[in-house]
Amino acid sequence: MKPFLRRLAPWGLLLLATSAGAAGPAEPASEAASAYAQGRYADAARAYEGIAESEGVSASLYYDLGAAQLAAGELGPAVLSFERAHWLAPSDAGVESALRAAREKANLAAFDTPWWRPLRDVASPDGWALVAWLALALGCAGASLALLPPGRLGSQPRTRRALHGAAFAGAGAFLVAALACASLAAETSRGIAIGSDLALRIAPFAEAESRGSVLTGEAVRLEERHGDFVRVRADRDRAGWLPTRSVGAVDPG
Amino acid sequence: MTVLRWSAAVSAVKPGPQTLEARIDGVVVAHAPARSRSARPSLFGDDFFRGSLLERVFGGLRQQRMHLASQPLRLDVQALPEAGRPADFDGAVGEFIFSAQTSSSRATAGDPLTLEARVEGRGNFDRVHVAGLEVAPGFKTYAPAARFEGVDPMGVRGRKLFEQTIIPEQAGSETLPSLRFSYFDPGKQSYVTLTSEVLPLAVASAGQGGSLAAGLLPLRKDLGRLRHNAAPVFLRASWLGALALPLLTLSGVALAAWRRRRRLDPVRARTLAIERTLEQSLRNMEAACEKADAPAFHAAVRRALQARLGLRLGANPDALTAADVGGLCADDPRLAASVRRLLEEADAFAYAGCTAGVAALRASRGVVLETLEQLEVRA
Repeated sequence: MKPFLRRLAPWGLLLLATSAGAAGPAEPASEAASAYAQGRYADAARAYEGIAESEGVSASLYYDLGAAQLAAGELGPAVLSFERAHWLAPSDAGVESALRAAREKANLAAFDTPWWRPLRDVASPDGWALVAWLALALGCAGASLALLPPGRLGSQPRTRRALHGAAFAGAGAFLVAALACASLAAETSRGIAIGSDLALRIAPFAEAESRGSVLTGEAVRLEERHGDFVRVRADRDRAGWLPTRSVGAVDPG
Repeated sequence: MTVLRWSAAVSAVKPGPQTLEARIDGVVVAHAPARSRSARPSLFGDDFFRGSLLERVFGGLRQQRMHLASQPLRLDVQALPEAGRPADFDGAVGEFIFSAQTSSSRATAGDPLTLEARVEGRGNFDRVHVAGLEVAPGFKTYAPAARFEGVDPMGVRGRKLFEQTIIPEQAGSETLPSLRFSYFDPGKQSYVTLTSEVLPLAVASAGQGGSLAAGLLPLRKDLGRLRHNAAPVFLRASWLGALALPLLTLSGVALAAWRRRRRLDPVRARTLAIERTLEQSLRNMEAACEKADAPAFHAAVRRALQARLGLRLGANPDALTAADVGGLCADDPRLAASVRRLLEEADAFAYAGCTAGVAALRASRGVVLETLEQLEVRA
């Protein structure tokens, strides 16, 4: 074996092992689906939570978990699971439909989405990160090749124009992708109220006085954490402290 | 006398004469009552009830190790016949009945169903296996999960259930293929293959108001690639490092291009050459001054002045003469006069064979350096 291939071999094996390991747990998923089919929705939800804990997460896993939680009547956790699925796969129409259904069932108002949101939702957060890197690489490659001496790459004006075009296109695409990433990064502080204790306290203590509440499944912004409490802000300028177990971050990371 | 019984089911895995023997290694714990010792020998020996006076008065617990073994039983295990052995036979021996059913005969495409295969009867249930529905067009299938419900404590009689989740993928009237189960019947001395009935299934499309309207969402067939770290890539330091890679490459290429252009710039190249000439001329001037070599000194002075004027005016130094100085330094007549005088002196030493001592040369050097400095300041 050539030295180059010998050096690549361990990485190839690692990639194969990673791919094999990422195939997904067939048996626990089967048990969860079986429980769902038999009407044991809470059992199915616990089984999917077990998979998430031990094997990892995906948009489809969160979707199935949300479906089981919704069937079991766990509306807040169902909304959170669908939100997480939507976060990981924003262009998935099935997830969006399920999220809308869960929100309706939880008597939550429809989202007022800005005009650019559908444009941003064409790709997942990781998709935008990849686009940003590829665009930057394209732009830098175009600019770098354009900076080479004329003899190296041919001095044809057409070639030069193409390189300049690639540089500008890459820079423009990077700008768009970077804006999308910045917008998504700002949303990593989104959370969903899921617990039963949803009174907004004025201080991070169980005995503190409450001034309003949020609905289960309602979206909040996570602002600050203190012990077992997190300060949240909901629409209509409602803010206060919720127990951390009563709220879940949409970004599962 | 107390008789203790232990029952166990055994299943032969090797044909031929076999010996069965039961052995028990245990500890017998017995209560020693507070009574007088019997003259009759104890079942467990005299030492068993022999204890302290306190134990003999109030009684106590006594224990003794024992090793028991039964008489060996001779068995002649017959081999299973090769002839007529079904391909799906997996070692089940006994008498069984086999059936299968679905959790519902109506479903929605994408909704999971449970296909339950049931094997009931008497035999070695640990070798009873049903493969379930393996590949069925129009269905997504999962591996079946087995569960045994015994009727007797030995597990010889009972039923084994195989629950398999299947998901119909398309709407229409479907039929589930029959399942097979093969075993060896020792009573009939032959293999038996049982098949379940073909199960009809009416599948409605998800858009026909199936599960969603009923509050149930169809599950996803494939969970996709699972990952433990679901944080967005762009929040990780490695992504920022990856972004730096093309930027660093571009920076390197841009720096190289800038250096190359700078190196190839004709004006800069000439300026650098003149500066080198000026430095060399000044060194030659100093050396000639120390050696009192007047021609060499003035030749160096001329080259230094020409170089400085060339730098100042952006002209070719070799082409500059004393006659050009007036026009070139028109704004400073004193400086022009000084330069012209120095150049004329240089010509005189070069062409007229004049000589000068060290002191004169040192004096001239001071004037030259001052003139060069003025020319530099004005440049």
